Amino acid sequence: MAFNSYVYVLFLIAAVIIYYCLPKKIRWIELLCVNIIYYLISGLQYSLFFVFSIVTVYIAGRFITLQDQKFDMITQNLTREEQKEKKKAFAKYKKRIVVLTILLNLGILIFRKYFLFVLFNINRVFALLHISIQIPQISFALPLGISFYTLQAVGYLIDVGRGQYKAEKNFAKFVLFMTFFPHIIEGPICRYSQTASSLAEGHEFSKENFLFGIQRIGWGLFKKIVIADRLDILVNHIYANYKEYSGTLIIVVAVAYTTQLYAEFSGCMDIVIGSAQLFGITLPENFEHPFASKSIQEYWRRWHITLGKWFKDYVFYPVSLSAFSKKIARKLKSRYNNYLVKLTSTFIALFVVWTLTGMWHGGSFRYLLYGWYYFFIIAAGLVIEPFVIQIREHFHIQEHSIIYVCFQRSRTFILIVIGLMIFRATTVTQFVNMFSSIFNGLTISVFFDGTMLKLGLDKMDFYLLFASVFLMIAVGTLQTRGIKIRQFVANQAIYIRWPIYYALIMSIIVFGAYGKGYTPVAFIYANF
Amino acid sequence: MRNKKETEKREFLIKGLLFLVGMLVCLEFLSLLTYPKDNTKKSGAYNYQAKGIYSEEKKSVDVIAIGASNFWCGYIPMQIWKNEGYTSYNCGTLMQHIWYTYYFLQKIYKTQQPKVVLIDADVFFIEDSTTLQNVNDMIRNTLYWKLPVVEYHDRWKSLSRHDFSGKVHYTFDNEMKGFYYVNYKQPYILKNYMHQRLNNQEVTVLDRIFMSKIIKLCKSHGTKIVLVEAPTESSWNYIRHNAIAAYAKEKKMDFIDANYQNIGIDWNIDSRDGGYHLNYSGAQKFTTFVEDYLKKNTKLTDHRLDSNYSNWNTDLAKFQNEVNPK
Amino acid sequence: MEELLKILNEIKPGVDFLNETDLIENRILDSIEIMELAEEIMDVFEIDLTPMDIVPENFKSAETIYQMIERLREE
Repeated sequence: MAFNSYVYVLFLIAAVIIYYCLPKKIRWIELLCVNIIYYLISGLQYSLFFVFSIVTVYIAGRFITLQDQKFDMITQNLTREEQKEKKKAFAKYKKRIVVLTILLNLGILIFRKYFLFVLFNINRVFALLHISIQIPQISFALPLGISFYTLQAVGYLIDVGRGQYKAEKNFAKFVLFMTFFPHIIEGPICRYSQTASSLAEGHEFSKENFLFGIQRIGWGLFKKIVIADRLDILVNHIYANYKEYSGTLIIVVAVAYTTQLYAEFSGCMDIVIGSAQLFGITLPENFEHPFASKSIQEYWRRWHITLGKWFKDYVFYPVSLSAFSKKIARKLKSRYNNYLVKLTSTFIALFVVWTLTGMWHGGSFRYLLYGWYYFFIIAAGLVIEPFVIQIREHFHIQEHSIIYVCFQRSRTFILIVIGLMIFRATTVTQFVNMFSSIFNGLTISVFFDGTMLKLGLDKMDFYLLFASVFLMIAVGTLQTRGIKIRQFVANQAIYIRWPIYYALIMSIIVFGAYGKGYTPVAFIYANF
Repeated sequence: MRNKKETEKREFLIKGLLFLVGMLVCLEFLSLLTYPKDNTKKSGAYNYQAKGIYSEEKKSVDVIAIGASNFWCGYIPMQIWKNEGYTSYNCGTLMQHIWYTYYFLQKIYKTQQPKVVLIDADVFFIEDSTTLQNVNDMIRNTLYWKLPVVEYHDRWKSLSRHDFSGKVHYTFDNEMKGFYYVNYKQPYILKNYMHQRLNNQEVTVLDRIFMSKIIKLCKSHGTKIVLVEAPTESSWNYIRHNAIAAYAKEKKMDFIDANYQNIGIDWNIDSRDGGYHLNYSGAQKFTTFVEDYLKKNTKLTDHRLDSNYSNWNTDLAKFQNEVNPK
Repeated sequence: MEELLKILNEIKPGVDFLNETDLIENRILDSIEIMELAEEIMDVFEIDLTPMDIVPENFKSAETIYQMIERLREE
């Protein structure tokens, strides 16, 4: 059930009304039923995989907590030394359970997602080596939301294994946590400690949550239907015929795609978080003005935030502190005593994180390149950091001066746009071709000679795009200054705020890029 | 304390209702603005050929043939007029679904009082879509017909002075009377005809709901409903035939299937696209098939000598010029 | 404590680590700097850190970091 479909609106209204009509105590049960209904309607086909993940992780979690309790009981009357011994044994045992369950679940994800990629490349190698065997290509359809719910499940299990909290005893409540419908398909990836208790308690109806939730959904729909889907026309047109375009137009399409992806993904998150808010549940943010970033590192703390956090807590730190990295770092340190060597574990961990982040998006070389592109930028940034500081000091450039900040933001923006060119391209070759063709025909004349009107959009579309993107940027800027837009509007008199609300709704209906003459645009991240 | 909460609640609900009413008012206004002020292609109307029915003289059309593209390409109103003098219109549109049929008929009844409505059995079946997609499509089409701004919102780019006056004046007039005339052919080599494997082969709950509405609507106007299936290889098979036959029997409606009976279709010359749709040659045979049914089973009036219907004769002359240019 | 402060100042010069109480919330240290810090701490104080120790509660301020170091030294 796509978030921008009519059915979803009705579904959401029904779910919310029924929720608040029921007594508080059983509201969480209604939510659980709503989640199950949503998943069955939208993704019945491979739901068994989801069930498998939920069940295995639930059991593994309970098992670990049981072991912890056993440990406490047994070691009560032991000496310090004996306790330490037992602890090690238990830790090893728990680790095995966690690793086994994680492998089972990640295994499903990896198998279904990357099997075709691996097969395809094996065949390619065979072809190169003139071996005439070709393994038949079988691709598997992905269970709905698998990339998101698997990470969520694995994160939960690792937390329980680390003793951060006890496993959820109540199976129904665990299912509720895993299947909460707004974030099942595109995130945000939630931690059990963030949302579980909020989901399980029945919430009192709050006017503010209800109204602000609806407004947030409206804003998200506006970004997706008016801005993103309209830009899609232009982006698709150029990418489908990319060999005919070069120079400035490539820059145009790259910036357009960046805007499209941001409008769509952050708009989707608005719909998701707004939908959750209707039930009184707060989901974590996934975007925080990413284009205000002054560095790529900062960008990944502001773009797809929950994914970055997940990789930080469950891959980056563990890999940096792993025995393997420590060993290598120690070996290098004993030979060289260099600023860079101190960063060895960090570099290893970064490499793993970015390889996995890239691959998480899909089984193809361009996603791998996408991940490594950022690894390279961040690693290079760390390497040259001392030199950059030296240069800055030499020229007396203040770190917080407007000029320097502008420079940093522009540089970061360019890097982001290039990164998304890799992301959007169908193959690495296409990206390389398109990127190199930028330097071939960098003219401003394309803006004045009518070329822009041959890309699928007409004059009125462009006016609308400028106005709506400007609005999006304005809203974002106000928010960075600490202005809470919904609160601000709510504080206005009724004859000011109702027209604003009507304007938003009518804009979506009138200016939306939907209906006759438009191809429906699927949510990009729903395919991951 | 309780009273305060109660009044707050009531105030909130009333405000909410007022807001929704306001929204409907806005949507109505925008619909009036964006709805095409004519039923021509130039005015921005979608499916303008089928909507040519709006331009016809009030209460002059006795038979409405309404359905999907097979009807659009298969039923020739002018042939029926020429041979029997019955006035009819072809309201076939691409991929029409049963809810569209219902809403379209509702609008047609505002200016016409057909004695017979021929409904394309194809509207019961939608290729390759899930129940979820069907429900979404049904909601979408309901909005299209009840709040036209949802269908015509893109006209914001091309609004003219006429749009602001709000007056609608239907002028589209065409001797084809909704029929899509094509005289080239692409043969279909018979393979699995009527034994195709198709999805969606049963009359669903949603179909029943809307068909019941159509039956009620037609009954209230004294119109006879006939379910009809035009010759096609791509979207029909025995299972669908049986499903519709059973449903028709249940609802005591006639059902005639040009695939089930041999009406003389020669798939080498009668299709324009390899068996999906008929061309003019095939349409003539199908229209004859329908004509025979109407002659035997209905008591329609022959208007050929009625001076009030002289424009139909003029149209016939134009039509014959078009299909047999001298 | 002085050792710790020396390390902190090397990794992120110009910050008043004595008085800052929200190193993570205020984004003074990012994840890479925390890793550098962790490495140095492990080296200098000869303790072993695991991912479970890298939590905001432990790294909130120089004070809490020191407390963590002391705790791990005892074990």
